[in-house]
Amino acid sequence: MAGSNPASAEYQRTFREFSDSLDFLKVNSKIHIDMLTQLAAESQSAAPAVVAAIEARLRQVPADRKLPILYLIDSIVKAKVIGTTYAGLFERNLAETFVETYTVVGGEDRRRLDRVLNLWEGYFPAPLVQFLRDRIVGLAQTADPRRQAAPRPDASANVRMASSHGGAAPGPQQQTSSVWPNYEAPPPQAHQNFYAGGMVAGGAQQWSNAGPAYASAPPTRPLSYDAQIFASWPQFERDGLRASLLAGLRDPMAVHQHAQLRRQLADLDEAEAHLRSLMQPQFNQPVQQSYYAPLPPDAQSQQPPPTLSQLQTAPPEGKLDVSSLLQQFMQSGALGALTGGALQSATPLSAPQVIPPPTGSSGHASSGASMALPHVALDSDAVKTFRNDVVESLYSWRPLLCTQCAFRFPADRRTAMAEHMDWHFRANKRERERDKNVRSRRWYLPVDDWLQYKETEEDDERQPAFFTDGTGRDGGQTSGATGGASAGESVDAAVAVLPDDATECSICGDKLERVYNQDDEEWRFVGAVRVGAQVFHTRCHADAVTNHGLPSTSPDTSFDAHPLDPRQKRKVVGFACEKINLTQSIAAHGPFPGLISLWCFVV
Amino acid sequence: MEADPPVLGADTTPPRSFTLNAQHELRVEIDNEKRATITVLSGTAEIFGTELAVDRAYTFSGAKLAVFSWHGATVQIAGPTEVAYVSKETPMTSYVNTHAALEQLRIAAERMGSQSGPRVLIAGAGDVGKSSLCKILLSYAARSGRRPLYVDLDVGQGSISVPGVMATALVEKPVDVEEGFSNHIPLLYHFGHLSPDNHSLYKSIMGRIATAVTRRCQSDAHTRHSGVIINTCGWIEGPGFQFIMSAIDLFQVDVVLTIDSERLHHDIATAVNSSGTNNQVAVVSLPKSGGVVSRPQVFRRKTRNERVKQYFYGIKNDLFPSRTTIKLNDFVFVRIGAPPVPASCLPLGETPANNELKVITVTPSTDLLYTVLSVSASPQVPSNLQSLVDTNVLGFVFVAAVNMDKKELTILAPSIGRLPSNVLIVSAVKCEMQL
Repeated sequence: MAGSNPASAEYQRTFREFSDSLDFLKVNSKIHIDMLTQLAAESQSAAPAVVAAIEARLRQVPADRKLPILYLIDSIVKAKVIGTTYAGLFERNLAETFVETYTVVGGEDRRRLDRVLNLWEGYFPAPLVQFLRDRIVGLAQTADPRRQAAPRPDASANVRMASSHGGAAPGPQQQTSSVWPNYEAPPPQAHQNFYAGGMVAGGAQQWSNAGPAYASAPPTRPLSYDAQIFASWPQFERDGLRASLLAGLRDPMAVHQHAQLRRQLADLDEAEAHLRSLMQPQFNQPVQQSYYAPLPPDAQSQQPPPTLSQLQTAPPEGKLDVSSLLQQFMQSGALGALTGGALQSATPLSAPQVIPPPTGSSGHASSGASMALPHVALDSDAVKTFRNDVVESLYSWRPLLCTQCAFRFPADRRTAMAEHMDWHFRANKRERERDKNVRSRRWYLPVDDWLQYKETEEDDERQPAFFTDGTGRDGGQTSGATGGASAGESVDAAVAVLPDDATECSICGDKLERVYNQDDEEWRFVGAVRVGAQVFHTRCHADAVTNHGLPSTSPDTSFDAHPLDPRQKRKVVGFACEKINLTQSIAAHGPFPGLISLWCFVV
Repeated sequence: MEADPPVLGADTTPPRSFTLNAQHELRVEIDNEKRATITVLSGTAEIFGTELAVDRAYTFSGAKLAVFSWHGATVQIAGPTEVAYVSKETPMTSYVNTHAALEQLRIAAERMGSQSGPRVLIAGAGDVGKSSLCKILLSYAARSGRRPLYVDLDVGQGSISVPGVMATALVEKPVDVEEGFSNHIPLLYHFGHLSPDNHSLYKSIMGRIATAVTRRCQSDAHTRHSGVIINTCGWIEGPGFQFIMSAIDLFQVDVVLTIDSERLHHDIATAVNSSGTNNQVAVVSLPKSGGVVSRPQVFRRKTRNERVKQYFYGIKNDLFPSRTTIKLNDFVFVRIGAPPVPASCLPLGETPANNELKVITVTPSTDLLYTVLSVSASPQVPSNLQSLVDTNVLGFVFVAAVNMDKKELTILAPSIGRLPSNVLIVSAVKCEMQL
């Protein structure tokens, strides 16, 4: 991995990029955590840089901003595919990272950290988790840095967690000698695997101390971590997840993921059961806070993004006052891209007066922060004067910066930002499949269709895409009304039925749709692709290739290998789409038979 | 983390870094056959109003562009460039202030609801940076969350599609610095010439597009409030001036931006004030950028050929057109506008009729070779051929070979499959595609 060498350009760049992106993570926001997790997944080749960036940031930020970063770590190590890689990297400094955080945060955050830790079993080595657990039980009894009187619930929570995890009272580990005295200021290297020798001592003492607290604690089982997340989602998102999990369980190509899917499903059930229980009036517990953005359950259906104003009202922590918070916020957005240094100009970005009123634009989603634009007369002379606010309306007033395309959103449009990042993810995925696709410019639209046409970023299925190809799926299909394009497509996405073919898709098991083609007097599977002797739904196949690592028996090669009847071959020649070289005559051109089946991916 | 595409032609030029101070710009010219990448290493920078992502390599070929920085930046260029230098004098302050003034009109329109946002026309002689200013204003608008319409009446350049067409497109995102408008779904009308010689047809199509723009604005409030930005061709005298005035009238333009011409500014201001129909038109004179250089005729022709090629193959050469053979008998070939009949050939006392809008069927011949044909949106030959003038086009085919013995044309079509219409409109635009 080129990206693991700290001297490599990729490492440096990823470190910088990820650090910049971390600027967004100021408050506990699921959207941002998801976004950053996604970014971590995309930066997997330079995972050490990502881990270093996160750890560095965790050390830098004030106590009240550490929790979201730990949530991010949690989210990354639990992400599919990348989780294991990252867990291995975080593991090295986890004890330091976690304990240091735990030491400085207040009581409320400590309880949340307990919950995080409680659910790390299975992601980090059990002895490490156990060590941390024991460690924080000790810490829980030290003075809360915020002097909030809350040690007792902390202790009880810890014990509850510990006991709920079967082998939580490890006998042999208690006998090993403690490295704790060395812990407080160890050389960073010393932390690597220092728990591995079973150095999980000291916990026993705290354990017994905390015992009585446990006895008096209400016997409620805490929700699992995922369940807590699910519980914080709106109902429709839970429904959507349930549907996709169930679909995943039916997918034979994803057998290796079934255990995980089942676990998620169980968590989902747990979340819903929990929510139902909250609806019951006799429930007299303090309400279960959702895990990411803390909210009472009655507001869970609408999770408002944390806003600047929330930031402002956060209790001041040490020397950090509101104005410096605001300033940091400003700089993070405005200077997010500038941290690479070498910025020589005296930019007035950090000047407080360019900060627009944070809620000024809320009623005008489309205009963003432009409400506070200075007045500029439409006059040949008036436009000559430089006005910093006019420039900043395009930059720092829109602090949410997409690192991929540099599009900016106002601070109050986090949801739009998240959708935008989502869109990039899908577009990048498509881009990666590029080699498999044969793309062409589609015919444009008749005037009446054009008047309806709109590229909407929210609905990716219907957009021909910002920054991608000009093939305009939407466009082509709409113009299909005029005859040409649609006729071409139905032929392209069909394969001839051969005598030995099964009638179902070999991936999803659903029936393949057959149509009789009048012109060629033969039956065809519609929306299907032939790979070797098998026929799949085009989508199933594409999905299997990208998501489940289906052996890349690309349809083109096997297409050749398959004994086609001569008639089919002739048709392939007829539809072959090729990169034209006009200097050669058509006759000299060998067709590319595979392209016809590849074409199916496009439509 | 994807790797940047390798620079073509095994270029040995080492990457060069440029430091831009605030409000400086890096002017770059890249040859048509060469390819170079531009990467912002730090700071903020934009190309024609679209902000560039830091550390992303943008690839250009055959481009004259300016990387402008409002806050200062370090920019790296890899690959061969004809010109690359840093300039301190730019008109960007005037341009961004113009954007702010337009933005105020949009906010006002939004408050009023039914009112339309600014309808801006940009006028100026050739090579003063009209289309660059259009891109800047459109990108700034998109960055402010707007969705304006772009109308391109400059038939010589064809910035939206290919030369010889008049077009409009919805701008929902900042203009792509590499791809320009090529990924937009435009509304196209066949004009068929590189300069507005056919006055009647030019005005007629302006009217069609103005109608489409009005309809779009009626149904789409977001676009209505965002307004329209209209690019014109560089002909500003005589009939050219009349076209500008017609456009102001047809599109109900309320802001005219003239670039680098006091005379034009004065003429337009006088004309709009004297005519009673245009009640409120602001005419603003803007400076041109020192980076704008006059393009020699050869460069223009190359650029035009390049536009046609890009239509079929994509700007990044990643699209696959389809080469097919069509039977002449299956298609109807028409041309819009006939040369005026010389008065000497007319019966005594008759004045030559205006045939500029007349649809004439063309007998295919070898003359069609290397011609760009427009494919009409009329799915089949209409009973009244004349209606083709008012019908938009769906795209183009390029005639690569003519075989009169077999009565066949070998054409390059954008995509595979049957053409969406059997009506092909012959253009006077020929393309020397080096393929």
